[in-house]
Amino acid sequence: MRNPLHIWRILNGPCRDMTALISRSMDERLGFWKRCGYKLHLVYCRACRRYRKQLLTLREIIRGADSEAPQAAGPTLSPDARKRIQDAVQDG
Amino acid sequence: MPEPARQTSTPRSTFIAANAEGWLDAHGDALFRFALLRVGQREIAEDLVQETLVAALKARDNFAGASSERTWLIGILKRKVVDVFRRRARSGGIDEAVGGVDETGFNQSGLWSVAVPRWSGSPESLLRDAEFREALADCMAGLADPLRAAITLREIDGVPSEEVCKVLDVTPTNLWTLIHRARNRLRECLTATWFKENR
Repeated sequence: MRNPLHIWRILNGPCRDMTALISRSMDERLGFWKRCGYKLHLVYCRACRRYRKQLLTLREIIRGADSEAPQAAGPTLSPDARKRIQDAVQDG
Repeated sequence: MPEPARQTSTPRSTFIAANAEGWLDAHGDALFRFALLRVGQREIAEDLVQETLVAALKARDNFAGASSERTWLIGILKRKVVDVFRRRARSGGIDEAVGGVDETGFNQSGLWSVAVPRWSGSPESLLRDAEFREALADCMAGLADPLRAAITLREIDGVPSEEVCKVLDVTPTNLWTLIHRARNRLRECLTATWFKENR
C-alpha cells in the first residue's frame, strides 16, 4: 500500500505532471492511482483534455505520415541527386 | 519437335542498368520521402537512397518476389536508416535531448502558461491535405535527431522498445522521455504553424 501523501500528490499534480501521465498512458498501462489522477484531472481541466485529444490525433497523423498522399505530394529527389544516384548505380 | 526457344542473353551491365533505372524511376521518390521523414536532412536521405539501390543491385538474387519490389527496397532502406540512428546516437546528443526538466508551456507551479487552442479536422482529412503534410514534414524535420529517431522507430515503424533502446543506446526511461518530448514539440509546432492559421 502506497503512503497516503504519495497518493495525494499523484491525485493533485499540476498540469505538467498530468500531461506526462497522459502521454505515458498511451505507451503503457499505468498504476491504479496514476490512472485515477489524470482521469480525475481531465474532468475539470479543459486544457489537459485538449492536450490528450491532440496527442491521440498526433499519433494517428504520425502513423499515417508514411502513406502516400493521394495527390502524390511531398518532397521529391532533386534532378541533381537523381543524376548522381543513377551514375552511382551504373558504376555498381 | 521444335527446339525450345533460346533465352536471349542480355549483357549483364545492361541488365543491371535497366533494373536500377527502373527502380529509381518507380520508387526513388518514395524511398527518398521515407528516408527524409526519419533522418530530417535532404543530403543524408539522398545518400541513403543511393546506398539502398546499390545494395539492392548486389543482392537482387535474394529478391524472391515474395513481397513487392517497393517493400523489398524499403526493407533495405529501413536497415540503413537504423544504421544512421545508431551512428548518431554514438556520437552524442542524447544526453542533451533527455537532460533537464521540460518546462515548455508551463509556469513554475506546473500550470499551463500558454493557451491550448482547439485543433480542427480529423487525422484522415488532415493527411489528405498536401499543405498539412508539408507543415507536418517541416515540424518533423525541426525535431532534434534523437527525438525524431525515437518517435519514428516506435510510432511509425513499430519497433519494440527494447530494440529502440539498443539502437539509441538509452534506458527505457530515457526512451520514453524522448518520445514524450517529441510529442510535445510536434504538438507545439503544429499548433503554431498549422492550427493557428486553419482554425
